[in-house]
Amino acid sequence: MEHFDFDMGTYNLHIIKTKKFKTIDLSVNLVIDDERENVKYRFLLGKLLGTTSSKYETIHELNMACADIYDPAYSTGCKVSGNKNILYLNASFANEKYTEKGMNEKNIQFLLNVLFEPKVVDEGFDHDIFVINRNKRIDNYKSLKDNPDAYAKAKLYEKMKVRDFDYPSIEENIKMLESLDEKQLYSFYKKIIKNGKLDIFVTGDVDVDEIKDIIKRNVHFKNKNDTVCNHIIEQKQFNEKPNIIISPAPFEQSKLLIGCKVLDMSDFERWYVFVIYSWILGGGMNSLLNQTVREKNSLCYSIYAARNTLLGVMEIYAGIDGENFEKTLDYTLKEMKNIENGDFPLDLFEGVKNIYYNSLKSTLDNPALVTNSYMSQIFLNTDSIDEKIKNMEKVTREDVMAFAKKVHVDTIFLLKGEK
Amino acid sequence: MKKNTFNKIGVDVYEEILDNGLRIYLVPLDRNEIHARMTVLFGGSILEFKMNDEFIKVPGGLAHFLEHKMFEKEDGIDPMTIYERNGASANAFTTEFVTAYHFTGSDYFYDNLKTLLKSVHEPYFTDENVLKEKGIISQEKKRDLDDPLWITYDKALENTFHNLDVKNTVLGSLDDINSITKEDLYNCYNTFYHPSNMVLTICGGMDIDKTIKFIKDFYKDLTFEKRDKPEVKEKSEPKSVVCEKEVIYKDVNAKEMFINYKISKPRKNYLDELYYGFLLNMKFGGLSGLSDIVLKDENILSMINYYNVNELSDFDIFSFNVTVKDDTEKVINLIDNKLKDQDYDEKIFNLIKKTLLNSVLLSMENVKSVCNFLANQISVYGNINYDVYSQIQNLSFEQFKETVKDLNFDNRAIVILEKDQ
Repeated sequence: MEHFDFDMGTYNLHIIKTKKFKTIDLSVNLVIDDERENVKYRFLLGKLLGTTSSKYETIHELNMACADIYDPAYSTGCKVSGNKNILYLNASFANEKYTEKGMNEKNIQFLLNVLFEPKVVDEGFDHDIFVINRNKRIDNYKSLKDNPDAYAKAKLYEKMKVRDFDYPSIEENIKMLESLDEKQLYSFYKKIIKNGKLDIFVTGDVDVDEIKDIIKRNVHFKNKNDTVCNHIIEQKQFNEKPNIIISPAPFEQSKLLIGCKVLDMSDFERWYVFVIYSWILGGGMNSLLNQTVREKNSLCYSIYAARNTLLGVMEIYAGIDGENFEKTLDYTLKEMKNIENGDFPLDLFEGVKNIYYNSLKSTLDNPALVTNSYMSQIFLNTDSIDEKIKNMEKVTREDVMAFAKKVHVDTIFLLKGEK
Repeated sequence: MKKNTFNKIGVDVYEEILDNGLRIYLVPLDRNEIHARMTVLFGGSILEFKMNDEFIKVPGGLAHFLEHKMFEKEDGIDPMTIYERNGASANAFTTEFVTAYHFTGSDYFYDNLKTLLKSVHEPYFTDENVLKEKGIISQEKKRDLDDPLWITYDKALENTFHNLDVKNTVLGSLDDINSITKEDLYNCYNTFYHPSNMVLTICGGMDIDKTIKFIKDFYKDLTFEKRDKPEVKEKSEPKSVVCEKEVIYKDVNAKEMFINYKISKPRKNYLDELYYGFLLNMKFGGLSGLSDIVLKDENILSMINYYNVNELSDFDIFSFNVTVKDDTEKVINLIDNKLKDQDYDEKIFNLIKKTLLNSVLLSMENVKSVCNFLANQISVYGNINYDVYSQIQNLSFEQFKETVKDLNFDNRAIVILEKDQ
């Protein structure tokens, strides 16, 4: 596998050449700062870019053109990455070696068109499609409570201050959307095109010069942005006495979410120790929470700890009977304390390291993961796969115990099923 | 071992049937990972079967409960502990038709494989560990009881079939779960968890000779003799559905709808199923024009999701689910009309063929999807179709029209979940 990085003047092109796959992976990314007002735009922008085009009148026409070039799989959207937003297009298409000569360029042209050539009328997106999809988005927010997992998670992050700005509540999001129009959304899109930092990644069995020429011919990006991006948000404070919110709901099952913040993390801890800590606590079936809460006490089917490395936060989730809230919370806090005290099996510690090494190897089996891994190196300055293995080998039990002391429960949200 | 190759795709498959009846399919692929899957041909829709010359009936949710309990061992070592120690990811699942146990890992392949084989052949059920599992599975069930999609899916199955046990949910009801005993588990284990009723598929960077030798050595000391297929009680099923339309009331904002079209055309062969898939794709897929309708219709809040249940011998089920804001009748009519409209476009037929060929090619890139494809072929058709690529290439528009022209879409069960007025 060889990596080639090109400064294309106003953007960067990264080509990863490998003979391993029959498919080519394309990822186009425009990075801008995250701001509070971006929240109302993000979902709709992804939706509109994927469904309107200056070249095709209908989705049907778009899909026909897509099928005609052997059906590349693609998605567009605007996502959050720490304190940044990324407008992206991720795609995978069959290498022309397995279809027809010229298909690589046709696929790239088609895909770039989706991202860069939306249908624009009078300095706005298509009015009718915008209004209908804005209203659907509002309806989706209103019916979020029908999905207790998603609702509980949204409520946790609404209450837990993890960014420089307060995250809008579900109700506030609805209000913001109601006053949004197609011209404002298009202005947001133009702002990304104007201020965004563009990086393009291509992975596959390709001729590097040929791909470079194809990209050069088809990308016409005028604005250069040299900003070095730092996506990381440092958590600086937490609720000494955790904020506990209990909200009744008409469900069979209760959803317990425990939001934690990690303070004063070093880079080594962020990229390595945090992984081990969260997996020991609530990663696989062998984790402390699964063993204690599920296997020994039969309190739940599903329990896990999920970390957000860039935000420096971790959420613990459990689906339980409401009456077992205190018991489950108690077991969870005890297991967190057990890690602080080094009271966790050596087998588990070594096992989660092996899972990490295994996941790195499996990265090399999947073109999208190969792209993502290199993208992390470029965007987040993470280590290469070889360096990651060496660094993970250095993580000790003492590192995990020391890290555990930096993890603080901040907010506890219980969506209490009362059926 | 017998070597076969997927024509025009160039993927080799090594097949062997052991003396004990286990069917093995090994696929070498240049990947760091190896995926292995043991499929037991026993799923949630089997509740009455012959044991010691008599039919016995077990509670709903038995196959799924058994799947959970196969991770409990007499020595106290959960197979998941071994997989995780080896850095592999592992899991299991139960459908209406099969139970499957699988792992994916880059290292310690033989240790993982041994763990997989032992996990399906070493039951250890006690009153105590069965009781413990009831709490866990009840929570799994309660999660589904709060999910609009699962609520409508389960009820639609119940309203589609009069007699077939597929009408029972895979998890069973809370009462079913609480009534299961260790004797029920042993009855099912002894009847269905035999190598003759299992399929082992492995794909990835492995040594074929060493792998087959390892599997044979594992079974050398186990006293399994080849057996006939377990006898499941046959039940006659009327063509009609049980209930054509049912509305369930719950405190929800959006309306969730699930529709099963019960098509009483006996499955003939793989080609018929391909043509049925084409029909659904032509009318509801990306090339159908439906995306434009959904995009511009404020009443339809989600995509109209569709799939085909083809595992039953006498029926095909075309299923749809969609989230609707207000007018469910309008959406039912839309789906009805699309299915009954016999105006087919040959150009779209050929484009679907092109995309299907591409997806077959791409599915052979991934170790997990290769194993799943092979296991599904065996469980549904009893053998592997190595000419799948050529068969798709040769599908004809005229034959397609002929195959789908007499399908009857009048038998349907509709379930709507909505707010109580």
